[in-house]
Amino acid sequence: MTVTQVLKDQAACTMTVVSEWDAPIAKVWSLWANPRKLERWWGPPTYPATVVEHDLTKGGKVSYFMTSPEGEQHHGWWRVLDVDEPHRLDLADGFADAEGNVNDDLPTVEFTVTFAELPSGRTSMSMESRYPSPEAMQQMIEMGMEEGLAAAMTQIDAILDEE
Amino acid sequence: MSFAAVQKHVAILERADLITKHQRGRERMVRGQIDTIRDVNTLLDEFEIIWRDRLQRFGDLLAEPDQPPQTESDN
Repeated sequence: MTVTQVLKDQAACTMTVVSEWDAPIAKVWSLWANPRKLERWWGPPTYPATVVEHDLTKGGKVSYFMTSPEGEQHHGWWRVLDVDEPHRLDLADGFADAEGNVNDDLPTVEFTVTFAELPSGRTSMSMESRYPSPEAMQQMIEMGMEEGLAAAMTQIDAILDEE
Repeated sequence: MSFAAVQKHVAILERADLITKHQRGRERMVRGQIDTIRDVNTLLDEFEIIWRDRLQRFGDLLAEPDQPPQTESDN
């Protein structure tokens, strides 16, 4: 993995993560566009993601759930705000109830992902996330703590243990 | 993520009481403290960790050789 830059704007509640990949742009795009590939990286191995609907067209919806080690399902969705294959993807990402219905009472985050071919043949991918407010970020961390951060921390701990 | 970056993140989160460490036998367990009120910097740090973790898997998947087309096995 090559994360080349992380930019954070505390006042605007935005973060941009720029990465560079030794793969052609079409292949990098396919990790978002192919639901079987998407579910292999979206959720951690301890909280695997299953993509149910996957309509990556403007106005389309992607729905997924993540399964806890205890077998509990946590549902989420994307709304596709705009798409320009294979260069740009604008998404809103939010929470859903147990039946997979969109829960608009919970905060959503917007992502803009841009892809660019570099002269070297590598692909640059920039992911900007825009959070509605610090309160919304806190709520998202609380709700996603188990599935996202805790798993990430466990892996970090495993790395530390290798030392 | 580089080892130094990992250490930096763990230190930030520990200092902000966002994680606690527990020894369990030979394992060191890390637990997230859900109810700590976080400042914006810390929140963005946490989302950075989540995204670095995701992009690690993204890169692992990209590095896999292309799968040969599936053959029909059900007929």
